[in-house]
Amino acid sequence: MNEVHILDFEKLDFEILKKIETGVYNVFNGVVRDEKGAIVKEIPTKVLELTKKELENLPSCIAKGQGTVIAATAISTTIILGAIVVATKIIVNKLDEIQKGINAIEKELQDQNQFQYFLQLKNYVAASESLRELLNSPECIEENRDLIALKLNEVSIQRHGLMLTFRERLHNVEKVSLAHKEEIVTFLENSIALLPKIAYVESEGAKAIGRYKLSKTINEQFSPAYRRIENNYILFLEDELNKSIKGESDLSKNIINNIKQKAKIEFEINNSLLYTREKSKSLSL
Amino acid sequence: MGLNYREDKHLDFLKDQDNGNLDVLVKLLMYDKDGEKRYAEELSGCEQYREHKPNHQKYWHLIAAEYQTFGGNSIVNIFRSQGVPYDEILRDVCGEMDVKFSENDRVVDIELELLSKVGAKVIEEMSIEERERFLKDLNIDTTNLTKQATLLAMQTAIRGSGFMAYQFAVIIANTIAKQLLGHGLKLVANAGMVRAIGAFAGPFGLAATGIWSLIDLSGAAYRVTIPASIYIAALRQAELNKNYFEMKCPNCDAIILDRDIDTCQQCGEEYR
Repeated sequence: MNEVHILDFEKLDFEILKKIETGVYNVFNGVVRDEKGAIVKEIPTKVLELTKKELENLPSCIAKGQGTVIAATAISTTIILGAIVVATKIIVNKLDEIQKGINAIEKELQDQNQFQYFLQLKNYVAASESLRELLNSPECIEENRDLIALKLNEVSIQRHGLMLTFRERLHNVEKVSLAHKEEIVTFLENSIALLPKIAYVESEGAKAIGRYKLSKTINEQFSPAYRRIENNYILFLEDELNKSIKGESDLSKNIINNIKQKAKIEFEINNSLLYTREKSKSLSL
Repeated sequence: MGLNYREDKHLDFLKDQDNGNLDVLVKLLMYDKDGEKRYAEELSGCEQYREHKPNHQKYWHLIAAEYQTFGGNSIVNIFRSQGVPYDEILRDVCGEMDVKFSENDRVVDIELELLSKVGAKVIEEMSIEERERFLKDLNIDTTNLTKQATLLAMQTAIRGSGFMAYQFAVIIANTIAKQLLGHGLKLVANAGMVRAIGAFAGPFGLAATGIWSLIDLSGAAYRVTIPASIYIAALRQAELNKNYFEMKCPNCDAIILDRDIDTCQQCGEEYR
């Protein structure tokens, strides 16, 4: 009943301990992790026998931060202690620990979200870069027509996937936590910046291998679809800006300033790349 | 004592206002209706003001602090070393002007009530012909031309449409600016919004020119805070409802002006 396992820091190398102390390494779930979250070392445990005296001294132990495991076990032994004050102190400390745990989990989830968004953008950019490489010179195009066609297909799939995620994320942006919302805003910002530029490369790629009909279709179908998601994004941004004007925004000031400064420039650049009716008329002349 | 800005999320938007818009606020705070410098103003004594004026953006926080300071009782301020938050001043001003609001109302909603009150006073001054034209401008087909009916129509219009609220706020802010600076403000966000002044430009705009004579500014404590609060409220409404980014129709490339409607005003296509 009174036997608990606690982390045995004494068995860790001095170097690791030093890095934990200086904040270079973190301890999470009984494991030492480096700045990037990679596992450095599993921390050995040891059995701790709790004597009655130790139980009585529990509040001061907790105050000194001596292990949550002790605190957790002690909750079931508060009857033995019989002192409300001890229980209260344990609960307060436990709540702190739980909050720390939640923060850590939230951080991991954020990292996962970030990873997912990054992965989707990365795949899209990678496919487009691969296509661009093949379009490097007339000789290269001539030699690799078959590969270019394959790449065009891949970039197109990635583009549609990204646009679907964009719509879905924008639709659900108000349903997530603040931290996640900021991740989404960054993802949307990156997507909105990349899409027209890569679609332009796609369209040029199709032209390069003589697929003019495909090139025209990409332009004609991408532009209005992109306009729609851009318009929804603009409505979202303006709503966020309005919240900040009202003094009701939950986004950080940095994000708001970023929206104001970068979005405008990005929209202007995109406008110059999008296929519009006017451009279509001038091209057909 | 020196001006000390109290962090105020409801005044933070002032930092993004251009010098023209801030100039009106500075004049409201620094000078009385006869153009004489106010005895209690502290802004002109500030080093940043002397160094950078009229580049008000450089010391927008001092302008906001001056407003906060006027908003409180001077004696209390000595002990507080800071002024009163905007929220508190606004509620105080609204209380003085008999504006109806409830304790839990958001600042932005109370501001709209305050501006409606100003609008009501403007409507009071309008003749029956002017009211008829004003209602026509609002696209309201009615034979009821009473002041109450006109006021109700105005309130419905500005509460129901951000575009209307923008027009209304621009007229109020512009009228204040014209009286103080002799010219209007640059509140339009893009070329397409120039036509935004629409419904409120006609008889309402004309009746609003005597705005200060319509509002009782006899109480010494409110001579600064009432006009300044009305102006800040109008600025915020204009800022809230202006279009920051240009939005185009996916079908015909026309610029989307009115975001209250889901379809393009040019071709009728959904633009979202």
